[in-house]
Amino acid sequence: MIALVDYGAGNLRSVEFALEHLGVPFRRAGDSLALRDSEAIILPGVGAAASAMRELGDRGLIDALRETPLPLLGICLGLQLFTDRSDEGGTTVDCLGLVPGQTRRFGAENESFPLPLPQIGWNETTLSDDPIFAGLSPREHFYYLHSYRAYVPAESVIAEADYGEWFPAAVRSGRRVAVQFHPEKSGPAGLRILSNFCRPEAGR
Amino acid sequence: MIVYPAIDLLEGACVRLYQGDYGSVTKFSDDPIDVARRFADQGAEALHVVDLAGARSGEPVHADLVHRIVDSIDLPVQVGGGIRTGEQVRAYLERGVHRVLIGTAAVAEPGWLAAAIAEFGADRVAAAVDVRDGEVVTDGWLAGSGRTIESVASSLRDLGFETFLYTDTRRDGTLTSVDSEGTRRLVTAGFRVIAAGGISAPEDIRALAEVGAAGAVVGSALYRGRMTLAEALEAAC
Repeated sequence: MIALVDYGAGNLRSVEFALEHLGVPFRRAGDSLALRDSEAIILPGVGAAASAMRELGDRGLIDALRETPLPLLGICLGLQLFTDRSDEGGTTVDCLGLVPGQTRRFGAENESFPLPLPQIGWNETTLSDDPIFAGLSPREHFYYLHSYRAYVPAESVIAEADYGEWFPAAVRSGRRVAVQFHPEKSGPAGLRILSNFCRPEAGR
Repeated sequence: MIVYPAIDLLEGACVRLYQGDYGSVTKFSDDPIDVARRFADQGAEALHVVDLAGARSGEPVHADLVHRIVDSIDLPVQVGGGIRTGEQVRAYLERGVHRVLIGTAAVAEPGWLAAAIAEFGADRVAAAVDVRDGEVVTDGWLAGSGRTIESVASSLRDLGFETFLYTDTRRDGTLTSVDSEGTRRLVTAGFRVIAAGGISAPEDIRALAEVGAAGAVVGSALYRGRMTLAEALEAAC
């Protein structure tokens, strides 16, 4: 059973549709007990970093996510929550700290950032040979919708894309992996990533 | 959460009303199909179309235009305005409208709706409940019903409704701020709630997401440039 972290917002449905399409058993999990009782955990992005961390904290999920030995997949904001802290919304909020680094707006280190924000739509993404990408080409297109991005050490980065500047499209730390794009809205390539995560044995 | 850019139709044009007042009309485009295409090009996942003339007269007036919008884009479209019979529901849904929004008729004479919900499903027939100061209002917001949202919600649940369009008419078109409390009460009562009225900033969309709204209708904020559709979509993502 996959646990879909439910921290009180109403937008889990696209991920649920994708998992249903794949035939992957899942349930919403809103407390640490439900997380422990699962095989793997998906952390979808909901809202902004500060409210997401507050909602996770209210449910006792911050330590549970930091300490879980289970495979964990973060999506969109979920990737940004993997970092130590985020500047989203103008204040700095502590995040999960699963990979070293921080989340800042696109162009935070480039005042003449040339492109509109948020980035919305499909973008070509360069993939490593990480097992989460099993069965995919070295370059695939995925759907992105974000204004903030992670700044993390290169050894954490397992995929990247270019939107005015190169940014991490996916990161990994041990059994924890996160993607900046929305695999649930990215067609067959996105579904393959969800399948690789939820059923790693099937991809071998 | 799904963001629904709004297209309100009056005399063939795309307009906005201020607090639902037909005497306070701002026209934004003479070509609603072009507006729909632009929303689609900007990444919209669905559209919200209201036949304002139909809401006022009590039967669809812009049905042909609605169908041309539906045919011109590849997105689910929900439609409201003057739908008061099972035949009108069927006409819209069988020609490709994704969801019909039933307002006045649902409050005044709800009997025929149970059959429509049973036939098409509770996702495709939604109750559009317009609320002003806690009281449900009907007839294109022109008359009060004397019933509270809780009272109406209870009646509608008995009919089989699961999906609500909740519009705060004090805020609609005003770019003030969103009423997430009313939405929260309906979500807690077990309804799927699409909120409308006063959604003017990404923070409003986040507030609605946090109380569990399934959707947010955004109109004036997009037309007046307060927020881009991309910003709205990001806040809902």
